[in-house]
Amino acid sequence: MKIEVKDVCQSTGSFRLSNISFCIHGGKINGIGGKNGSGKSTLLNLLYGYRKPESGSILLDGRDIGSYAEHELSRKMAIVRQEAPEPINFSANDVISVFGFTNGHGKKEMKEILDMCHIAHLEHRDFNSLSGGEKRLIMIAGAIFQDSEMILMDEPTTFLDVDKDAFVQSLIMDLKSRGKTVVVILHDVNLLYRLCDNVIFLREGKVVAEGPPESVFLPGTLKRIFDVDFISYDSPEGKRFVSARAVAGSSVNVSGSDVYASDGSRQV
Amino acid sequence: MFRKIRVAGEHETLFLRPLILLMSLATLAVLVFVSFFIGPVSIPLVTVMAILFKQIPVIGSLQPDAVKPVYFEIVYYIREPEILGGVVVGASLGMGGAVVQSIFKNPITEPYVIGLSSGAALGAVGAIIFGIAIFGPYSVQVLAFCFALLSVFTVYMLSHRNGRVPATYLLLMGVSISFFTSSVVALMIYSNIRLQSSAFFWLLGSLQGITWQELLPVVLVVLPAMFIMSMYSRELNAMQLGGAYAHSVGIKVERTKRVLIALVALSVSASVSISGLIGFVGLVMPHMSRLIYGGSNRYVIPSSAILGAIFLVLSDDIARMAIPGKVIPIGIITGMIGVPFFIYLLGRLSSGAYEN
Repeated sequence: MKIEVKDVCQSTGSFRLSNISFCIHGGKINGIGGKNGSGKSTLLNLLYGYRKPESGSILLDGRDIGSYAEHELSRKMAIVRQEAPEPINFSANDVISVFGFTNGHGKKEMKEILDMCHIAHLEHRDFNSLSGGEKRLIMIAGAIFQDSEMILMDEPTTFLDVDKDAFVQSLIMDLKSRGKTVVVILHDVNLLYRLCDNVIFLREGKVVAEGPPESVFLPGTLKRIFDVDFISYDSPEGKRFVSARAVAGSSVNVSGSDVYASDGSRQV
Repeated sequence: MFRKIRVAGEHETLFLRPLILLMSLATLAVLVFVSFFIGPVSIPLVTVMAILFKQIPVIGSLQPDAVKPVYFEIVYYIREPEILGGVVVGASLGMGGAVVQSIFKNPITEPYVIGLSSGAALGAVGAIIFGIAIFGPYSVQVLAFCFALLSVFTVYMLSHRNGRVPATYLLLMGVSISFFTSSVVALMIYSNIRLQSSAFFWLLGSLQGITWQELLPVVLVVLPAMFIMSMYSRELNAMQLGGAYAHSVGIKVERTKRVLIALVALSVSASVSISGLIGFVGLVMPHMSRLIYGGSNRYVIPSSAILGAIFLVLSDDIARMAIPGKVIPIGIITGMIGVPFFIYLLGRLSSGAYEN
C-alpha cells in the first residue's frame, strides 16, 4: 500500500499547506514532524480523505483518494486522533465496537485486542471517566480492531506516562511487524528518529525534508525546521538529539568539540 | 433494582438487555390496555375486550354485536385514538430525542432544537389566530406539519459550511431560528386576546380529542420513519465519536446526517401536528434509557421510543383523571411528574457517566 501526495494545497483559516508532495511507504512506519502549527494535523485530515485538498492530488495505491467510497477507505486505513471523543455514556467496549463497522469482527477479535493492548480491565468502564492515557489506549485498540491496512495516529504518545509511552511505541513496532503501514505524527524528534523508517518534516505548511531518519536528521536540516541548533549524542538507546539551547551551560557530553554559550549559540 | 441492571457490561448477561427491552414493551401493552378503563365513564372489562376483539380482522366479525353503542362510541372513537396517539407521539419524540442527541453529540438536545417546535407553533397558532381553513377541519394540523418541516429545512440550508453541515452550526442555527419564530408566534398571540387560550392550549400540548382521521395519516408517516431510524443505531454510535471517526470507520457522514434529520423532522412534525408541543419526552427518555442500558444506541433507540410511549400514555391517563370533567394540557403533566422523577433517577443511578 502506498500514498502519493502531489502538489497539495489546502487552507484552514489563516493557515495554508502549500504545494506539499511526498510519499507514504507501505509496510513501514512513516513519521510526520515539525513545529507546532506547521500543518501536521491538517495534513492528516487530508490523508484519510476526511477533507478534500483544494488543489493537487492524493493517490492511494494509484487511485485518487476521493474516488474511494467510505467503506472501501475504512478497509484501507484507520485513525487515532489527538483528542479523545466524548460519547454520551459509552463504555470502553461500546467505543471499540464502533471501529468494527465494516469488518464484521466480533467478540473473539475484540477480546484478543483488549488483551493485546492490556485494557481488558477497562472494557466495561465508562469511557468519559477514564484517564487521558487510558482513553488513548482504547482509541488505539479501536483502530487495531478496525483491522485496516494502514493506521494513522496523531501524537499517540503525548501526555502518556512513561510505561504507557513505551507500550504504545512497542504497539507501533508490533503493527509494522504484522505488515501494517503506520503514519504517525510526533513532536518528539528522538521518537521520530528511533521509531520511523521514513520521516517527513513540515515547516509553515511546506515539506522541508523527507527520507530515512539518517538522511534527514542533519544539523542544518533540523535547524531549518525548528530554528534551533541540535546536538546529537550517544545514549544506551542509540543516538539522541537535544536542543543546544536546552543544554547550554550543562554538563551534557555533546558531540565533537563544539562548545555552546549560555544563549545556545555554537562557539567555534 | 435499577442499580443492579444499570449500565452495559458490569452485570450484563447475554440476554439481560433484550429481556428488559421486552419487559418494557410488555409494560406498554398492559398500560395501553388499562388506559381504556380510565375516564369519566366507567366501562366494564368485558365490553372493552369485546370492542377490541371486534377490531381484529376476519375473526372479529364472528362476534355478535352485543355492545351498547355509547360504550362503542367512547372506546372506539374517543379513547382508542387518544391512547394510540399517545403511543405514536411519545415513541416518535423519544426516538427523535435519542437520534438528535447522537447526531449532535450533545446530551441536552431534543428533536425541537432543529427548529421543529417553533415552526410547528407558527403554523398552528397562525391557523388558529387568522382562522385559516384551507385544509378544512385539519388546517391547524396540516399547517403545523408543513411549517415544522419548512423551519427544519431553513435551518438546515442556512447551516451549510463548505459543503458540510457541522453539527454545532446546525444547533446554533436551530436555536436562532427558533427564537425568531417564537417571537412571531408571541406577537400573533399578543395581538389577539380572544384566541389566546386556544393558541396556548395547542402550545402546551394535548392528546385529547385526537380522531382516527387525524391519527392514521400520522401513523403512516411516523411508523416507517421510526423503522428506518432504528436501523441506524450503529451509524449513530459512530457519530457519537465525531465526524472524523465516523468517516474513518466507513460511514457517509453527511448523507447519514441528512437522512436522519429528515426522518426526525418528518416523524416529530407529524406527531406534534396532532398533539401540540409536548416537552420533556424527547430530552429525557434517551437519558433514562442510557441509565438502564448504557450508551449503545442499539438499545437506546428502541428503548427511548418505548419509554416515550409509556410516559406519554401514563401522563395522558393522569391528565384525564386529575380533575374530573376538566381537560388539562398534557405538557403540564409531563413536566410536573416527569422532572422530579428524572431528578430522582439521575441522583440514584448516575456514577461517573454524568459526572464529567
